Amino acid sequence: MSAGSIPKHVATISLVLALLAAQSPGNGQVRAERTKAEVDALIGQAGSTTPDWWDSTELEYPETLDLNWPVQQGFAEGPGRFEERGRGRGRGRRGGPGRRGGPFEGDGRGFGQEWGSPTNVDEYLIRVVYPNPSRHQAGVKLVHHLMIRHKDDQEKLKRSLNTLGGMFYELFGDYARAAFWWQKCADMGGTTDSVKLARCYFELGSRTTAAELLSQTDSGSTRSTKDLVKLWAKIGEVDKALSMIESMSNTGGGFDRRGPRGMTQSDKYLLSAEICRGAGRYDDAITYYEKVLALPDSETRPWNHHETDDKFQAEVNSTGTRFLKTLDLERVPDGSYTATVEAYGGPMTLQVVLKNGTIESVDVTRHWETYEYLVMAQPTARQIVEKQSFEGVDVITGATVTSDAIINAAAAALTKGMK
Amino acid sequence: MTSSRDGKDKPLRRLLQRLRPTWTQTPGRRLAQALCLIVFLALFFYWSWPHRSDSTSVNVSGSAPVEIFLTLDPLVAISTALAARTMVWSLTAAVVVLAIGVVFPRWFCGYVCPLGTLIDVWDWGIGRRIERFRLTEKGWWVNLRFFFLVGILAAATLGVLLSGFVAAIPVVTRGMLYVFAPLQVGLLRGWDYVPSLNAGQYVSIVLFLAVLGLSLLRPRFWCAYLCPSGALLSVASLLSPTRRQVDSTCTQCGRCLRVCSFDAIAPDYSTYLSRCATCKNCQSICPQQSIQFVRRWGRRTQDAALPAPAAEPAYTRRGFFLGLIGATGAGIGVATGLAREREDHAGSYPVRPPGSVPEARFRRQCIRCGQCMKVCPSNVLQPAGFEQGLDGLWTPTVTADFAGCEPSCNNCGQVCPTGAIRKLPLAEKRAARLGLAVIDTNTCLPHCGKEACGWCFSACAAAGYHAIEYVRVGIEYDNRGAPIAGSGFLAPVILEDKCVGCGLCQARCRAVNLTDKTLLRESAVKIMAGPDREDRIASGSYRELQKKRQERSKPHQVEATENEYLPDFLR
Repeated sequence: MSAGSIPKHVATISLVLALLAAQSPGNGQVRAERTKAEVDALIGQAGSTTPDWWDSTELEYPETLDLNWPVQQGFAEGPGRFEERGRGRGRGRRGGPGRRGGPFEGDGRGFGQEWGSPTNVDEYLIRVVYPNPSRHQAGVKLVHHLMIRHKDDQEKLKRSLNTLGGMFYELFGDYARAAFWWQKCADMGGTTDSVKLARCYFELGSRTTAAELLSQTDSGSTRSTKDLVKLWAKIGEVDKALSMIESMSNTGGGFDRRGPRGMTQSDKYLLSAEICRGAGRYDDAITYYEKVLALPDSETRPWNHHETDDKFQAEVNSTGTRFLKTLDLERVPDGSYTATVEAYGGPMTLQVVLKNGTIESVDVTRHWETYEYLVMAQPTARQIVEKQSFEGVDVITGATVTSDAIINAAAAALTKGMK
Repeated sequence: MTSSRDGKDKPLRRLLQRLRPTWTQTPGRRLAQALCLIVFLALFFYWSWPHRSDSTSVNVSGSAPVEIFLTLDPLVAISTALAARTMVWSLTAAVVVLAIGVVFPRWFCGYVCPLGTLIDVWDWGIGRRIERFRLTEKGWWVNLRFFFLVGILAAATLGVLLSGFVAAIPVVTRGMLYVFAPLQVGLLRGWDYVPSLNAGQYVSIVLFLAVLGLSLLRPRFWCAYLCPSGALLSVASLLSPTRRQVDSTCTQCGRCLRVCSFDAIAPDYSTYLSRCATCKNCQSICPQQSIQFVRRWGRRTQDAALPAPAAEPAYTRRGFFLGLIGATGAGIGVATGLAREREDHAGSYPVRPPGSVPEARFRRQCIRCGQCMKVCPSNVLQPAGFEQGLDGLWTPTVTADFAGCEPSCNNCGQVCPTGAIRKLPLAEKRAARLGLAVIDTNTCLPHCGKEACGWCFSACAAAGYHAIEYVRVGIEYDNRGAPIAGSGFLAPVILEDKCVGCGLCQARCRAVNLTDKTLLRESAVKIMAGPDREDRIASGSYRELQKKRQERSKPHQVEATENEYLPDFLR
């Protein structure tokens, strides 16, 4: 179904204006359901508007990039794979005049410099553009440039449209523009991520369309299965999500970082608890956490540098959930409240400011998280302020511990102030 | 003056007498000395301390001319100007000091020099109580200072600066720095902040203590026989219009001999003009008032009874000149040796303070006084040991193991007396590259897949340089060959067009991963200097240089021919 079926004329514009005016200011109330046609109109209009940063952003990319954009399976890991380079046992070498060898001696410039000459566009995007917010806008312009360059090559055109949609979704959280580019890609017969498209429809106001799209989706990797299940729960189908989790197979894939992660029983309980918590079903969430704590230790993931400790997570989250259960925002006077909870790398201190009865800000003031996780979990803090409640607040896949910590700490802080 | 015959001021005299006899005899001089020493110490320990609570900024510039004593030392100014072939602004001060020295011989030594005063204090406190080592005869050392002087000037002509090793004010500045500054840091900031001493610093401490210790041989041994700055002033005093004169009322009691700090009185009570500092101690102690300071070429008064000033017993005139020639040769030899040593070490580049002039000139202009190290708020500047050879000894190097070069500070350039570190405004200093950070991907934790870490990134961002960004390494792939989102680690990369080499990353990595977590044995990111990695210009703007460099290294930019967001073929 394309947005072009409705003429882009006065009718659309007035309709869109009316729809935009009808948007609620984010006080947590459920928005009136929009039809697919209405959302499509929104996508067609808002999605095709030039972003305000467009004209001021330069199109810049490394000279070495191959703009023919060939598909490449797997990326080179630089000079030698990790095993060959040594596992960082901290071998320090003392330099002396004239000694060569090793990056700190002679004229060694360190291996960090080779990342400056990438050839593959996808690799460049994943390695360099996505991790650095300052490069996001120029990255979008690069892919846009490729789209125009390859407009006569069907495959590459589809790839560029799909990538553009993905970038607006992931990097900017811009659902309308993401859906716009994805629609263009689908119009040409390309495949897009239907879970993410469903999310766009949901965020733009059409729950039913989101549900339709989700029912047509089959689960791929574990990670997208988690996103699928979480979106089902987000649009309101919590029981359906819970039963989907139940029916997933126990891979028991071990706790090896490099092996397939799979969903262990403990993972399934934690995911179910997360869903229940986000839906406001606090007692169910606590039940799931207790199930995790009841599992034998061998079946739950212990702590190491890469993973979190399942039982510890269950412990910390169920404490937070208990706070959520008894929290009543109306009984919290205006002011600033802080609380410290255990997060991924260490204790996290969070400050919540209430003004005129509304949550004005949620800020992490001290933490030991790595940059990546904190940036990924930012939407959690933002959504608490936008929704003015904890229901429907996202726990970001891939940064669950940090997101949970933000929720736990905000709940604890507000409970402290509750009269 | 308050001579022993004066009956007035008895309580004052008694007070002064408890100090030393010379306070009663020449209180003006002692007062001047005390004042200069107090000012010197205040400048060094108070005004050079960048952490005073009454100021919010770390800058010492503008508060006091902390390097003023260094600029007053005439040998420092002349030898630096010669060696570096530039006009050092402190030359004007040196000329003034020497000019006064013509009229008032060695006034600097007797009235101003803090090293001299320090030696006097040492003599008073400790030296005079130990009699064992006292010399009874003079020896070959009596003219050493002239040999030092000539050697230094010869070396300076060849472009090697040696005066920093033996000139008076650098010696005392370094002594204060290596012996007492660590105590100040330890007491006021905490003992964790005190960096460890290297071999070169121990050598300097030993030399300083030796200078004091030599007074056991004879009070003010250094000033009388060794100090080349004093030698330069003595040369000026050869033109002096006044001289000491003893008349026939002299009873040869010997008091003046004992009291003369500079050993300027011959056994026959005539004067060694080259050493006389006109301190007038002898005049005030002489019970017969036999001593006057008269015009040199004026009419003679009644001293016909005494012979003309005698030569030193240890030297004949010929011996003295041979010694001078030998010293010149030694100076040339040392200079040549050090120049050759510079070539041997050509491959290793020490990291210098921001705003340093190019290295070859730096070695010729830095007098190794240590003033810059004193004012560095984070003790990043440390004296080099012997790793650069003798020529690099005691020169300031950036050691970013414990702290980085503070972005809000430009102290070192403000206080350098010779301009080896240029006086830069803060905006210029922030653009001057000390070096470049280089990441060792063999040990950096995310680069070798060990664990996530971003301390260097956050240190650089917090300082406002934003010269570190991330690259994703260790990406994992699913069975279709597509990369798994979020897999791998974010590892730091240095943006070379933004990094100024301040070392905050190095210090942070070391603090967290080495000191705190003991995961590494040294920092995984280090500042390295060298031709492409640092900016060292003797004049001109560093910001302009940075702009040009950034223009050159800008990534490929395409003329956006299709700037339209929604192209036609998609409408």
